This record gives sequence, structure tokens and C-alpha cells, in this order.
Amino acid sequence: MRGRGHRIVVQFKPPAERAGARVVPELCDEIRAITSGTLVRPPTATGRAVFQIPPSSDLDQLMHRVRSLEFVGYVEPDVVDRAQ
Amino acid sequence: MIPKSPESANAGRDIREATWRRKRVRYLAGHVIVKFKAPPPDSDQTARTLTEGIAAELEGRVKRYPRHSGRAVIVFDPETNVLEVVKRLSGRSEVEYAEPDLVDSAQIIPSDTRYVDQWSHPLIDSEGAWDLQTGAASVVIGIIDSGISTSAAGALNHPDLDVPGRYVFGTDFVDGGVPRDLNGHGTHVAGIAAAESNNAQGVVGMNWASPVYVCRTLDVNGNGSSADFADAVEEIVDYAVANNLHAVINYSGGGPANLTKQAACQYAQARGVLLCAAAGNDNGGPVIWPAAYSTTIDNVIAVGSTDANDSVSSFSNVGPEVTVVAPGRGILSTMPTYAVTIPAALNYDSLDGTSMATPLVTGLVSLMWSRHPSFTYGAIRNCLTSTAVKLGPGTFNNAWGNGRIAAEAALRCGDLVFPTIFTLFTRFTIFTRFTRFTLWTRFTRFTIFTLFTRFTPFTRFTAFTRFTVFTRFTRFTRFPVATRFFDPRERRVAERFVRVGSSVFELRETEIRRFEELKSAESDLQKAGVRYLHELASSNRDELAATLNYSREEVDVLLKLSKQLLSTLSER
Repeated sequence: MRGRGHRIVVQFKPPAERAGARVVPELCDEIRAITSGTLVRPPTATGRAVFQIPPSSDLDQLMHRVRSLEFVGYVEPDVVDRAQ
Repeated sequence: MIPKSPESANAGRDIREATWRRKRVRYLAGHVIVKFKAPPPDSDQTARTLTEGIAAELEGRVKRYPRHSGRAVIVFDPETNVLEVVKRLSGRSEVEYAEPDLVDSAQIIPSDTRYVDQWSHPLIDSEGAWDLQTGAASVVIGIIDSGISTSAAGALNHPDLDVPGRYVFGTDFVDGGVPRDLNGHGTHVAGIAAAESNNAQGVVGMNWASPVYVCRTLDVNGNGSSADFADAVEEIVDYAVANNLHAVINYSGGGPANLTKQAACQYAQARGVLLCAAAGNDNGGPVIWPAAYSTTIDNVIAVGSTDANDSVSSFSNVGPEVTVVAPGRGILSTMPTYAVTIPAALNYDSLDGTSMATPLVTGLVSLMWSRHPSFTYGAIRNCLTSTAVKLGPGTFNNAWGNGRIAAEAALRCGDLVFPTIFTLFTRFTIFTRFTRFTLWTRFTRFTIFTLFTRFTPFTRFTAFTRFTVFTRFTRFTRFPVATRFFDPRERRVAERFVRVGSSVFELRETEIRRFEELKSAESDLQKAGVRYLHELASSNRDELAATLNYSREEVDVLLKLSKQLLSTLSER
């Protein structure tokens, strides 16, 4: 599977399913801290954000750590599509 | 391919008139359409040799050999009595029917100069479709691709893609700003789906007038992010919802599966938006995503590619996910007016790929929705697949899915009934554009569906139903339904019916004497003129008590019992 550089897609759980009263920017900060990455695309209305991860980092391990956060629905590599 | 030439604009065609089947008709002189029956399995005769044999026998020549449908055209001397030939051919055992080639009203033949090179449109009967619809403003075509041809300043600059106000710039998820095409793929795709047409230049798009919303997710090399795809889908869907438009999204790209793409497809599905996606060009490999979601998310249409001879292109991916196929090899369309990554001519060139087949389907879907704005995406999809031409035995094949799209038939599909069960006893029915879902039984005779017919919760038509008018008010009532009976052959006494819940019963089925529970009060009720359960249930307690000389408590018990029985009856 080809990923787009070291980009991951993080889907936040809906607000009703998230414990605590933290706002989305705080959640993004937490992910950035864990991954040492940068926020490429802030969360959309449906709660999906894209982060750029440093090329030297272990993508699988980072995704595992992000996935374990209680406010994350899923996390996956930003796979590359091709024109057909 | 039938090349367009000055003659094809009907000038010079020898058209005759005659009476056929008790009607005056106009037909092409010397032309006969023959539909052959399917040959027996053990027959060594092919449809081709059969056609040639018959043509030689009758001193004609084959103009068009049978297609998959078994229909051929044989041409005779113009002075030949075509109706006589038709009569002779109809009598042959191997012929299903024969008829003169009747002249329809003039079809729209686009004036675009490169139309002669667009072989796909005559094959899929686009001209017939354009007679019916060329695109409405109530449908938006979303193109998620590598952008569209623009000047460096960001203005539309292609002569076939520059109608002011028609092409809406969405987000460029790659570089930001105007979605300028640096690859060439997106401009080609946009032209197939929605190039300006009948403008005496360039090529024809499938849709001539509907708005086009362009998002860029594929970069200069044709690569794109799944997150960008999902964002673009949501943007187009939100635009359509905000503007109260139907939308069909074209995505001539794809790759591995992931939850992001799946969620985007579901987002569109939840808002009634169709997504046409390319099956992929891996030479018969498995269908790529998002097209492969077509079997699990029903607003996704996976599109494979065919060639000019209606065979599946060698590069086209296969699998149960293929929904339909469309012409995708040697497809002429628009290219950017400047040099791009794809090595092609400026302005117009031909490309191959399921990418090229997909926008043809997208354009067709937009025409279908333009013609039938009341249709759901499910109805559109059903019409698209059910009218597709089967390219082999059976109704589905992993290579060609439900078949090769047939544009005119797909547009006319809305004029027909779906889903329908016609039985031996069905006589005559008028369907309007508002007909949604109806169940016919063996006893249905004559039914008119009106403007207000939406969903008819009838479970039973009886032997006596002749003529029924359903209105918006025909839903739930205890009173005899507004049913009239009509039989032109005989005068008959109208039977009466009663609706209970969502069921309609003959009146005799609610007779009080049929219910053991009311046996003790039956004679009293009969004397009081209460013969049916619904009459009892709707009676006034005090009046009934006075008439029967019962106490109010006793009447309450009767009323409660009658309502319970009615309820039980309607639940059966």
C-alpha cells in the first residue's frame, strides 16, 4: 500500500462519544505531541484531520499510539489513488 | 461507428410512405429490420451466416449484421416492395420479427466538428438520449480529478469548457487556488462528461448544460490523496444539498481501500448523491477502490471499459463489483490548451482507460436525473443497470457487470414501470411520472395513478376491482373506500369495500355474523341496522345504547371488542 509521504488520516469520534469537554484543537495538539507531526488539514465537519509525520518515525507504531486515544475513531495511512 | 457526414443529416435519404399495421408510416426505402430468434444450442449456423443467407436469397445485402440483441438491417433495391419482403420474412421460423425501418422524428445531431471521431456516442445511442434531454440546471456534475484547463491567471480557457457560469471552481486540494489542470487527465474527463456541445466546434459532451463542479485532488503526476478525495466528495455533496440539486460525482481514479474513502462514499449515499468511479486499468485485475464499494454502498457505480466492437477492453479490471461498462478506448475529448504531463496534443486528443468510460456514465446519469428529477439515486441506478445491453449470455458478468450502457433506453426507463409484476390478468394501466411503487395482483384490471400517488399500501385487490382512483387521501379510513367499479362490457352492481389499517376488505368479510365473539348481540345489532364490524366500531355509544336498550357499560364492551377485532383483522 502506498502512502502519501508520511501522512495519516485521523477520524475523531463524534462529540457525543468523546469523554471530557476538550475541544478539537486540543485533541489535535495531543496528536501532534504524540507524533511530532504537523497538522496538514484541520478537522472537517465530519471530524477527519490529516497529519504529516516525520519521515524518520515508525508509522505503524505511531498509528497504534494514536489509535489508542479515547477520542479517536480510526487512524490510517493516507493512501494514494492514481488517475486511471 | 456511423460517421457523421452531410448526407447523414437526412438530406438525400429516400423516404417512402405506406400503410403498415393500419397506420400511415414513413420508412427508409429498401431497408428492412430483421430480429432473429436465438439459434438452438446445437445449431452450427451463426447469426451472421443466417443474415447473409437470407439477404442473398432475397437479393438484398446486409447493411448491419446482428448485434447481441439479434437485430440486423438488410437493404434491398429502393423500388422493392419492402412491406412484401417484411411479410415474407416474418413467416420464417428463425425470424422473431421483421419490419420496415421507420423514420423517426429528426434526432439531434450535434454540430461539433470532431463529433465524427467520437465513435462511442452512436454506439450507446446518445443521439436518441439527446432528443429527450441534454441536461438540466437541477443536476450538478462533480468532477474530482486533476483539475480543468485554465489560463495561468485562473480563467477557463478551453473553447469547449468555458461557458460562463457553468463550470464552478471547487477547492484545489493539491496546490490551493484555482483547480488548474497540470496533468491533462481532468480536462479530458470533464470534456467527456460535459463539454459544450452543438457549438460547431470541437467535441460533444454527454451532458450539454448541467452545472459542473470541479475539485482537484490529483497532482501533476496523476496521484491523489484519499483524504483529499473524501474532502472533495463532502464539498460537492454539501454544495448540492445547499443548492437543492441532484448530484453525480465522477472519480476517474482509485487505489487501495481505506476507511476514509468508504466514509466519503457513505456520506454521499446518506445524502442521495451518486458516485461513478473507475474500475481500474490493471489488465483484468481486481476492481480498485472506491469503485469496489459498489457492492456494499449502493450509490457507488463501478465502471469498466469497452471497445468499439462492444468487447470489454483488455486493460479493464473485472470482478463482481463492476456495475456497468462503457466505451473507454480511443475516446476523443478535450485536453488543456497548454503542455501537460500526459503526452497528448493540445486542445483535443484521444485517451484509453476506465477513466474515460466513467465520465460517459456520469454524464448519462446526469441526463437521467435531469429527465426524472423525482427519482431517487436507487431508481436511477436501477434504470442504468436494467437498460444496459448485455454483452453475453446471462444478466451479469464480472467483466461487463450489468452490461454496456444504453443512453436512450436509460432515459426512457423512467417512462416505464419499475418494479413491476404483470400477470396474466393485468389488462390496462396508465403510469405517470409520479408512480413509485405498486403491487399488482392477478385481479388488477384497470388502474390510474394520479399526481398524488406515492406509495400505495394495498395488500389486496379483489376479483371485483375494475376501476380505482387513488388519491392522496386514500390511506387509512374506516369508511368504505372511494372505489368505483367500471366494466364496459356489463352493468354490474358495485361491491363495497372497507379499508382497515393498511388493508382493504370486501364488506362481507367484516359482517358481524362472522365473529363468534359478537354472536350473543348479533340479532340485536341486526335489528338496530348495524351489520358490519366497522359500523359498530364507529357507533356513538349513547345512541347505540338507546337503540339496543343496553346499558352504557355493555355497549362499551361491544365497542371495545369490535375495535379489537378490527385491529386483529388488519394485522392478518
